[in-house]
Amino acid sequence: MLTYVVRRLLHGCVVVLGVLLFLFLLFFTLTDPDDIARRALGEKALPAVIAQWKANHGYDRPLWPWRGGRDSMLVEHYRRMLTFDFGRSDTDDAPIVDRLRHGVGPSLALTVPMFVIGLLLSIVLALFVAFFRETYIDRMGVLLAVLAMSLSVLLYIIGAQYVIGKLLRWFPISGFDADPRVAWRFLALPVLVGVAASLGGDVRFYRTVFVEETGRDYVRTARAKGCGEGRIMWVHVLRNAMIPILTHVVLAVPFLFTGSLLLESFFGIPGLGSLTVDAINGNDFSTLRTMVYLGSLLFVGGQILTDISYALVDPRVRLS
Amino acid sequence: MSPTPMLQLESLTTTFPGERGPVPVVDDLSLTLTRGEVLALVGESGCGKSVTALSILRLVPRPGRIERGRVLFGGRDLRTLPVAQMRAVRGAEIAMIFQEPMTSLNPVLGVGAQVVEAIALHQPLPRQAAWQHAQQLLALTGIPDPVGRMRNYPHQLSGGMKQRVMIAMAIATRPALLIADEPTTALDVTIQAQILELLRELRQQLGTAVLLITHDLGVVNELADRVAVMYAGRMVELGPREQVLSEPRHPYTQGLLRAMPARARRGQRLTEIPGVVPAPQHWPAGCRFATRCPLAQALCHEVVPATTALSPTHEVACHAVARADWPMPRAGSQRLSLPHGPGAGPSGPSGPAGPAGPAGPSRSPRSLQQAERGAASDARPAQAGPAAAAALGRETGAPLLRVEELRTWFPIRSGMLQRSVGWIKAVDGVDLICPAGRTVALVGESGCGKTTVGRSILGLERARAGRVYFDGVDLLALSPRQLLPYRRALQIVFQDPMASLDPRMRARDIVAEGMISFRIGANDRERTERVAELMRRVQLDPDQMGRYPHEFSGGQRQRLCIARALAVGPRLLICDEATSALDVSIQAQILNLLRQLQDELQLSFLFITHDLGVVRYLADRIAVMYLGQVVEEGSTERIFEAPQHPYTRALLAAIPAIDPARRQARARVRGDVPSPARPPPGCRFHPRCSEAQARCPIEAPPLFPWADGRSRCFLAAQPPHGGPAADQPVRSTSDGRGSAPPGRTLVVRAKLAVEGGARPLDLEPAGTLFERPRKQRAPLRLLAQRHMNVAQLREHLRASHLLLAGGELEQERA
Repeated sequence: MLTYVVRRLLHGCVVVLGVLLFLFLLFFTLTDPDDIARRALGEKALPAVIAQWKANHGYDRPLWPWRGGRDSMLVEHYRRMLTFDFGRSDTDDAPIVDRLRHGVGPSLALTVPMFVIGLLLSIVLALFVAFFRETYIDRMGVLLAVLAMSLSVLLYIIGAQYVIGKLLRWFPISGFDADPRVAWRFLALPVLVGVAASLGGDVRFYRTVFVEETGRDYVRTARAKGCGEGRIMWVHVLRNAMIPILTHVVLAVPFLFTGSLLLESFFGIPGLGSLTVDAINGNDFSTLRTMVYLGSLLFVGGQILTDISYALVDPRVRLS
Repeated sequence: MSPTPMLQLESLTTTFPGERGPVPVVDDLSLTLTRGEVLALVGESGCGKSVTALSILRLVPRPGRIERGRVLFGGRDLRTLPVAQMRAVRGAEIAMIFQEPMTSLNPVLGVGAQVVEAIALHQPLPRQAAWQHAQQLLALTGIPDPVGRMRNYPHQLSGGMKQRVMIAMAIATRPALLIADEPTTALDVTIQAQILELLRELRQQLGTAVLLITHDLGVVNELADRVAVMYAGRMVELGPREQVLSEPRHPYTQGLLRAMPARARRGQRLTEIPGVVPAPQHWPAGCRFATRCPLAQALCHEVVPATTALSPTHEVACHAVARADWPMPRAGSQRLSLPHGPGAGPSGPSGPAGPAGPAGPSRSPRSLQQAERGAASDARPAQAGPAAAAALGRETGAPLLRVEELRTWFPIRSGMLQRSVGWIKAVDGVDLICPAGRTVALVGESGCGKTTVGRSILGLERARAGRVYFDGVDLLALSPRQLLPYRRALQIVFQDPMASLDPRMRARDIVAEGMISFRIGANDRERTERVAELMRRVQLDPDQMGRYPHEFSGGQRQRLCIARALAVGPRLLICDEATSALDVSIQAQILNLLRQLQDELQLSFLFITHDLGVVRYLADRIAVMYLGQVVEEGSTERIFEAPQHPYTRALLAAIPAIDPARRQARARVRGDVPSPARPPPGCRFHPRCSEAQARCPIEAPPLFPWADGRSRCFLAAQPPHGGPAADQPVRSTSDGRGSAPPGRTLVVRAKLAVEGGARPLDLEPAGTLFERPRKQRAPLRLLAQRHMNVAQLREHLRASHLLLAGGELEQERA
């Protein structure tokens, strides 16, 4: 188990180093640092100001180690990323670490409830539908699920903002507050939209897993033993179905930290999702590369977590 | 056997929806089962046996439903019982075990928990008591170390062990009726013998009635009191075992018995049942067997035959039996042969339309003959009997294929860098000789490496060492380029014809593909002609060459596989379990075809199989494999009449008898095959051998020449005191044991994986255990072999997996 995790971590390191190289090529060889500076300072900035800005950000150094040795931008890029020294934003010189620190709270406040409620609700609904498989309840369930997943997320967002926020005035349309006693009012609507948007697809997927499991030989054995249908669903089917479901879910866990691009920007939540969107809009390369780098770290972590969770729920899987 | 009916099926009809209304898969079936009896329900796949069983328990999968009839059990009609009461019947009064122990247990729950569940569902016991009861049940079914096994998951048990767990669950609440649906079909023959013995014992101990569902008439003979034969959803014959098996009256029962290769004489054509069991929506009106029946008259196609009682216990549903004026010799005994031959050609609705008679070689176009190198059949008189052919082969039997010291090992990778830390020695020093124009069978249980031998010969698996001489050329030493012409000469037919044919290719393209690779045939048109010729040769209709594999039946698909192999004109055909997935009537068709092709084309066969019945019928020579090695090799007569190796004897003893006068299947080997990653030291068979001597765990026996073959057992070697030479008949078991040195008694303290019981237990090779431990770690009195000290004893017990993990062995006193 331990050797397996270590081996996977080493594999992960290779992936992350590769991602960093790719990022470097993308941001610094395909783009001219002068452009970055001009975007940050404005089109009419004087050459001297631009040179100064580049020097401040270290963008004036030679790109490759065989030109500039340890002083080259590539070495600097790796050094900074690997030591988590993310530097300052290209647009307003604010330390990126502070931004991350401020953004992660609101992001988690949005994604964790969305994830937990969505998971429980979709599993319960899927079990319910699968229990009545091949009846009208099942057919209606699948139909609704397909309908729900066919609608765009944007429709959910705009619809909820209009109906619940504007017409019914139950919750504010957008905004955020650091005070948790107030914040839940702001979060309710995006959480609701997030859950609703993913519910259709999830219920359909989980139902498929459950129905597939109910057709297996061991379920027939359980029935022949005299098990009731409820016990079959909760004890026999659920545990086996958890194997594909859990691994599907665990992979998503690390990305709770990166927040939700769409929901955060539409509902004005100052989380990491908004941070990323802002960075894209503002050509903030430093912030963007930090987010991509963290994303790749989380992805590698998620993969390992998935494998471990496989081994935990499925006794047949041994990690070696 | 008391005459009280316990289970009564009255006009049971179970339907599945079809395109034109519901299709009765079980049709108007009536059956009675008395207390404590074993009734076998027999038939080929697709005859509705399993659906009958599932109907009794109301477990027919949706959208199937029980349309009509009654299932009377203990005075109630199970068909109309409220769901809650039905659940109380399932598992408690009627229990069921299934064919696939691998998939029938919940993979993520512990074995113990699943047995406990079976108890707890019907008996309100405290958890502790239920757990202990479950342990007792596992012990009762003969699972070694039941206490430790309780915490195992199903995947940690072998197939035989899993079936024992299934049985333990089934007998948990002492049901009055046990339904066993093909309980041994997925198991190896020695394990099958163990399970059959267990079922026999349990039936005696618990008095449980058994509804045994099987396609294997040998298993029927070993276990059943009465036999019900089903065909296409209806019962066609019902009677006591002896009568049905020795004097079957229904043409279907007769056909099934005649199609069994184990009953046939070598060299004789098997009597096939033409065609296949049609799919339920195509079941004919009238007698459903009429389309395949050699006796069928116009009446049979129109009127459903009524059941005729031949005696109070024996009934048959057949017009030919009911009517004395039927135009045929009355088949009083199955030995009285029925007319067969060209008239009995395939006429089933989906069967091939071609005649069953041999496709005369004279019809072959020139291109085909060119491809079939060594087609000496033209020169031979067409009527040359197989015996003559065999004699010819024996004289000119120069080895076409000679395998020497073949080793194919698969690495076990582990650790950070995935270095190989060990080897699974799937094939570990195999020698084999395959004479031209003959059939050599490679026999063994699953995991013995027989398939790997076949694949290594073809180069599909990279051998690590050894030589494979084909026509005197070592194939393993050739470069891929040099090997190319030999690929043409060696072809293979696999077990599962569906999986080994590309589902998206038409039959013509499948057969022609090899020809394109080897540039046979000048153009497409010529190749198509040749495909048509090949299809005729394997008795497929050439008009069907545009079809896809799924449009053929299982037997037809296997014919297609054979045609594909023949297309490039091979000289050696490796048949890897080529008939194992087929029903017995289809198997007979394919075996006949293979024999005919051998005669016509002078083909050599390497027949890889676990089925000794097929081997006896087909093979000239047999090589028996165990754990990667050939343990015995010789002519078929010699192997069957005077087997030398204890493993061969165990294999032969485990075959269920089909002679109703005998019941013989005996489990002569204990336990399961050890892992090929860690084969036992010395003779690999010694931990399971009932005749192991002191030297067996230490010295690996070489292949001793014996009679017309070789045997890897010290028993086959020259006797030490200069006794009669090796051509003496089989030595009795006691001789082997008598030569073992006397031992000394060691009293040790150990935790052993031994089953309970009263008799002294052989702990080969270590010694004999006099008293079995009542408690764990209790002192044991062991008669150890003289040469062994405590350290060696410990080592040997551990190597033979008798010493349990954590159970150290310490000496108490000598």
